[in-house]
Amino acid sequence: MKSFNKKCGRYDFYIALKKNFWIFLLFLFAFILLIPFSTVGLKKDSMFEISFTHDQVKWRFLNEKVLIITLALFIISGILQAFFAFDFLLKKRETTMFLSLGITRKRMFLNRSLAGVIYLLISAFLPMCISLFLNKMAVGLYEKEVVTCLYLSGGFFLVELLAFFITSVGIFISGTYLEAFVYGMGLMSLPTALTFSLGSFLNGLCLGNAYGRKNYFGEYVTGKSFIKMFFKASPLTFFYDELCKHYTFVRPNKSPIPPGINIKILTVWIFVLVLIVFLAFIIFEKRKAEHAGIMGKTGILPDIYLNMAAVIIFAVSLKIFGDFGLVFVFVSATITALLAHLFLKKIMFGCDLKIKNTCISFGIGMSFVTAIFILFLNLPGIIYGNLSSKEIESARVSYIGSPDYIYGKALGSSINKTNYILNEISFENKEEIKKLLLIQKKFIESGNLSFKTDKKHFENTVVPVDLVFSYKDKKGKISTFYYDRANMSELEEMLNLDDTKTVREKQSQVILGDDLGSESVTWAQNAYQKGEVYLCDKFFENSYSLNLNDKTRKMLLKAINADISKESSKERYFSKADAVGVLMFTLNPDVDTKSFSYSLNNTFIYLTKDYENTIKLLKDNDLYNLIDRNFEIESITLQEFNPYDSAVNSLSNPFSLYFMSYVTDSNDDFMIKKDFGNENVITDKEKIEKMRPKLKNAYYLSRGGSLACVKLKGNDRYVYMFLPEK
Amino acid sequence: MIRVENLEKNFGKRKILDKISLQVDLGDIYGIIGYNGVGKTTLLKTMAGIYKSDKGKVTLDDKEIYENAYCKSKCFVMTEEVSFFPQSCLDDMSKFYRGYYKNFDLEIYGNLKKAFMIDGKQKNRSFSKGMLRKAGLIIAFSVGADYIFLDEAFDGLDYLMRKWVADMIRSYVKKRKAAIIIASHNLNELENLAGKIALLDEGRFSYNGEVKNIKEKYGLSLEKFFEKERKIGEVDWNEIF
Repeated sequence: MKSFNKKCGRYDFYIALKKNFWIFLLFLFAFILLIPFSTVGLKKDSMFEISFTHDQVKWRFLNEKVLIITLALFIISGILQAFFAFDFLLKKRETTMFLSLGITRKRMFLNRSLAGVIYLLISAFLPMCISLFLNKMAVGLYEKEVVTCLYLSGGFFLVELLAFFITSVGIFISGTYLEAFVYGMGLMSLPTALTFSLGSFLNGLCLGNAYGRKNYFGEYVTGKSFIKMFFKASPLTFFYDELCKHYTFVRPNKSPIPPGINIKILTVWIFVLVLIVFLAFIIFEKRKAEHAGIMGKTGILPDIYLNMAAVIIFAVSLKIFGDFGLVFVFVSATITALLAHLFLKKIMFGCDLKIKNTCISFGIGMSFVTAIFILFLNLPGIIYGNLSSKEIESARVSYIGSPDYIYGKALGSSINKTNYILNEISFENKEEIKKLLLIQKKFIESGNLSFKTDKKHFENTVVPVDLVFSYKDKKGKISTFYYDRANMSELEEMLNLDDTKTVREKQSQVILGDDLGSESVTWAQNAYQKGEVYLCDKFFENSYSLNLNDKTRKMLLKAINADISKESSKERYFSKADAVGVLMFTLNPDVDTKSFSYSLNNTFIYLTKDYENTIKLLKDNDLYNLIDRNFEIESITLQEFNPYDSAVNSLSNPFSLYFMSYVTDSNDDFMIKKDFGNENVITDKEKIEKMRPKLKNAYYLSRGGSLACVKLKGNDRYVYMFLPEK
Repeated sequence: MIRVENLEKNFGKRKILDKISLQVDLGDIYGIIGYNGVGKTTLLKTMAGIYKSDKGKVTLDDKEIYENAYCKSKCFVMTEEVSFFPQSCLDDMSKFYRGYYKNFDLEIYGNLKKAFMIDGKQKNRSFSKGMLRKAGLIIAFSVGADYIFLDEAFDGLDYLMRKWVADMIRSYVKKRKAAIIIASHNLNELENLAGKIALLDEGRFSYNGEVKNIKEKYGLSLEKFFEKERKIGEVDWNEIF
């Protein structure tokens, strides 16, 4: 009898192999197309083409264009193999047929699993081995190539196995295909869904969260996003980074030796796989045959899934509709979650829609989500409270003031007619750190803001920013906060940092050419020290190149330094004094003398009557009379400053709110262009004369006002200035 | 011998079988009767080791049948919904079952195909209800099982065919010393065919014994006995219409 049972078991294995054969063949064909064919079968992009390899590509197992799709297909292959192996459990007739046969469930599970494993093994290793062979034929074998090929094949195989056994668990706990699909996919994507939700709640609710936030230049502020951070913790994505790292090797690279393989990650996931297989086996053994074809027999699982779905719906809503405000997010997500709850409960899980039961199960989910909202909304205050009670050794913050004295770590870019510089400055003085903490407190008190213009109270207008506050305590622990938006009053508050001793000293060093430290940019310093110097009137009608020797340059810079050292932040950004002229220091005079706009190669000193030392020096050298002239203004075109007034180029990225004048050939070169309505052109001489002294070359835009395009009589150029009133 | 002792089976909170006891010996033709949905199929499937009992036990030759490959290989279950792969034909199914039943008799299989006039190459999905039933019976009586569980064995068969099937069952039991357990609503056929009968009612047997006892003890045919035992009230159809 035992020998027959063995024979019967072998026969059952043959049946399992037969059942899954066609799906295996289909995927094997797909993988051969995606792996060996994609690397040698495409013209101009083949390993056999020297014009592609340039003798530098040492191997490429598959084309970079198909990395994601290949990984996705390996997952789908595992899922489908599981369905083909165990779907009899979802059909009443087949369940009766198979479970009435003279074979134990243990053997049945082993046979179907083994059949799946064999097919998955072949579909992972065979295409990769063919690719290895073709690579060898094309360019020969390179160091570590075989090991890497085996490593990638092993990774693919593991991805498939995880998909296979997780889907199997989904099938074993389900009654219908739909349930099996929902549970299988749900189990598989659970880590990704959770990390996505956590990231979304942190970004959308926890004001100041820096995890996973990218600045304008695409750099992560502190670390990767939660999904990316936990890529290795999800069966869907754990191997993606490794695949990207090893699918090809190009020499010369950073190193002539290919990167080492990460056995640790495979080992950890093999351990997880063993646990899942064990779990699958236990559930299979305990599976009730009578559940075949019947949905809604999974106890509290539907409720767990429905509540998870509610959490994910809220996370997605927060991500998509976050800018519409939290109330909108909460209401829209609640309605969506309720509809999803009813739909999933009835259609997928076949549960009764009794009002009492529905209220209880939906209520539990909503309570959970509400608790998450309350927790995450209060987290910034708690973290801040904890932070301010600590002894902080040093602090760093994004600098939002004038780029004319820039120092510290920085990245810069120009946007339309303005610019954006991500600049970081640091403080070690305790009083200054306290000041910084108080500024950050304002951000926390303001809460979650939506991008908008507040015409009545312009200080409440909210604009995109890239603000990073970072504190290092005595133990060396760094706490970083990131804000992607701020209102004008918060930004104005930050300008007060210019009045700190640290910033003043550093700005003097920039002008005087002192050492700024290795981390600091020297854009402004180079312009002051090495740039050509131009003296212009405030309308840039006439500009004069000043030939300065070292001595006279030093004298000029010393005078400027003396003036800016006594200039308060209020005077610098909201000057009431009349503008008298401009000094430009430029490393790129050919370009800069045309537009007089700010770039990383130049700096500007916008002279007002308060710049006594500089003006005195200019007067002493008979230069002041060159700029002290009155030009006749033909017209002034005004456009009210509103960051969101245009449908064409309203601002969605951070930009510098420090307005710096510029010159163009067009009267439609406002930093934000209105796309409808009449232009407000003023030609009345009386009005123009009233406006003239109020026109500013440089001004901080936080209080609102008008962008002014000034045309001088007898000149075709237009000078863009700022009028700090409507 | 299959012995069912104090068997209990629940579907969720609903008790389907409640302390059922039964013994089927080789040579028996055992009829299970009862109203629709009373648990006849559940009893058959639990006896055949497909369903796990919640309480009590089902043994075959004193060995628990559930998860026992040896015991299960001695049984064959033909349920109401005949379980064939729709894309295959009867010959494919015979091939399939040959791998699982060591006593599968190809000669019997061939003869039964001829007797029931079934084309072994015809796809199962093209079978009518009656043909599918015949195909199921062909397999059931070819595998060489000692215990055959037939759920609605006569369903979909014409009068002549029902007679044939009854004769076939009698002959199989006599020649192979096998036992047949039939769950059926066809009381006339069962009365002539089964030696023992069990009437399942609200999870318990309201009668379990020799068929001939019903006639001797109550002086009733099986049909009349069933009517007498039924718990549902009379309906005045004239009032409804």
